[in-house]
Amino acid sequence: MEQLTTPKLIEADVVTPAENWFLYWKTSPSLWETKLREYPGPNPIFVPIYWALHSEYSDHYDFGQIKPETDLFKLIQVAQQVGRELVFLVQMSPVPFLINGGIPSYLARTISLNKQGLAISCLDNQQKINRLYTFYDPRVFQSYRKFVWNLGQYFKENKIENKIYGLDSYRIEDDFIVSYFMDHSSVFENGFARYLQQLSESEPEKIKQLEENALYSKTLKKDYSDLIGNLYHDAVSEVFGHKWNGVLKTCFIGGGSKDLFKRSQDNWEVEKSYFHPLMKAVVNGYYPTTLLLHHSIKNKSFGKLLKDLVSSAFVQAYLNNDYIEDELNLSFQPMVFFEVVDNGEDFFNLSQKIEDSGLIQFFKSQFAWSYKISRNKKIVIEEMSPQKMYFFFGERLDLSKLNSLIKLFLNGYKIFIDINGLDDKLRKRLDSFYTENSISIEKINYITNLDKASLGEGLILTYDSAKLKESSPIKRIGFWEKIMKYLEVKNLQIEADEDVEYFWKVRSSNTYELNYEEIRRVSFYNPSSYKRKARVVSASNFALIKSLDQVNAEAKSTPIGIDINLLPGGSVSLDFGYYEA
Amino acid sequence: MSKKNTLYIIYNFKSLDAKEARAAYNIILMYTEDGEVSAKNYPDIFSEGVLSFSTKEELLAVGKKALGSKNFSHVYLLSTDDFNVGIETCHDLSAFKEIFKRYGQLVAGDPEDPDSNIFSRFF
Repeated sequence: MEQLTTPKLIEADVVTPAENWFLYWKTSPSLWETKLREYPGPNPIFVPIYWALHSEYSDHYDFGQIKPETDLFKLIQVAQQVGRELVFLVQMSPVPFLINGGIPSYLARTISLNKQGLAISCLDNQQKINRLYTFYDPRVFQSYRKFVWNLGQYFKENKIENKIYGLDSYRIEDDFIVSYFMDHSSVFENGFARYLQQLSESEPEKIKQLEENALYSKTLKKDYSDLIGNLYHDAVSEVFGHKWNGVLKTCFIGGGSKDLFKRSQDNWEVEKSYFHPLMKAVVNGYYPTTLLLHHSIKNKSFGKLLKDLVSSAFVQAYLNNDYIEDELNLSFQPMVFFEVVDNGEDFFNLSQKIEDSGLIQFFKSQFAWSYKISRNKKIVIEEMSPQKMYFFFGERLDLSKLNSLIKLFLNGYKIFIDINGLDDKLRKRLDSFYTENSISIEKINYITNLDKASLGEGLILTYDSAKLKESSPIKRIGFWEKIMKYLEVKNLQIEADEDVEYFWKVRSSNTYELNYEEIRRVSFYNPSSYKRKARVVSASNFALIKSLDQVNAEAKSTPIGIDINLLPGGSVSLDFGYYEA
Repeated sequence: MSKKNTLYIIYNFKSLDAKEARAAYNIILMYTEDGEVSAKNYPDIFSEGVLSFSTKEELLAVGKKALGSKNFSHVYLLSTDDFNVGIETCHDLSAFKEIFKRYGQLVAGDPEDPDSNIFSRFF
């Protein structure tokens, strides 16, 4: 029988192209209600505000007066009618899914360049090319300030109380997460030259340092970039007052410079190539989105991973900037054993540092994606968890931060400190703290000098990454294996074919699961075109509860563990209860 | 006979010392339709994996070597400056796919391949 109604487009829908994003300008306001009612994704719904749509000309603003699709108040009313929560996002950098990076065309004058001098441009999910223009042009900032002020007035006049976040956009370039705000165009360089001119008068010692060490320009460029970034941040956050909820650091999968070339070649763009960028974004604390990717790449196991990962609980946890909120404890969240913290201000090669010590290789081999890299400048105890192990770097510590670490230790937290680059005064401060409080130190000499101080649950373990760097990569991994075994960090080991991807999540046990401390879920995905195998090796303290969401996959219990067979595109999840012996 | 791909090379130009007129032509990305190409896999073309050259002629010579190696049917070179000009005119994927042909330099081609024939490109 012939179908008389328009077929429903769910994943391919241009209005809701990915996860919880709603692009209101992509359809007529008369369809907003239907689209929101039928919206299938997690909540709350993110609504990016399209600057160029609301301000086509200089000093001209439209919030429903001319174009009906600019009527945000109507959109909110419609959402309320259908019981949907909308969160508005105001861009704070060029955004890759909008023409000209979202800025009005009259301001699109200088394309941003990446560090290799290539114009920053992206392919969106409709196969359109978006070029991104610099935010370092003073005219862009002046217009931005006026726009957000008018937007703020509009929200005030209409008594709009929805939460607002700043949208700070990132991409993955050569394994690094890079902001779209960063730019190497002539506009940036000219602004930086003016900044240096200013510094020569206000802080001549910095210029002297630059003359002595050309690499110092990296730090100064970052300072200049932060300075301009803060202008945008202040402009928007001051306008919205209590409605302002902070910045949503969002990583656009498929938005890197190389991705544009990759996505232009059918054989090169494969589903598997997006697994690691997605997980990398999560591990580094960025909100991941596949908004740029065509729906066809999200049909199989990658789409399953997205659904498993970006759930309502994940979105809520991200917005609250805390994976362990009480009300979320019973929802699965990414499992994080370790958190590597870079809390300094100036330029620091964190990736190099964790590679030198063998940490990242150890995490990847034994605790794949079960770690987090954070760049919080302040140490906020309320945002930390005594269940995790934290890694800090001597080079990045000052007296105040060291005192915070001591406070964490006294409160039962587990702290690792790389003493390479730690100031002598701080070493002495740490030693005197131990002496004054009669805390005995266990000294172990194994590849590096390890000093272990413990007090109740609290632990401070110092090591020297310079010594570790001198040993072979295998020895470095072995070093961390021994340390973690000694500290009784427990997780099930996975043996899997190369193409198989897996990912751990965790939640607290509920009233029916009181035998267990927590429930750990591992999900397997096979993005290849071949049959693949994986095994979860049996271990004490873990019991299999169930297997679920089996798609083209089977899981069999054997004396060695759980054997998993995955057909092409297959996926399966296993729940394990973890109990103390 | 195995299918040969087109090799696309993107490079940038960096002035190292204006006084001595020293410069470098650096390859920043190489790919074929099957994916990224690593210099390590082609030691006969990129000796010791070198991707930086002092003159445009040296870079061109590498392109010719790649073509002569029989691994690639065509080799295109595109500078970041030309890419940046070209991308301004690209609005969608189909236009982007032409960027090497329109703004890049075809190193040479198989004379039997009609695509590489100079006449076929204009008539």
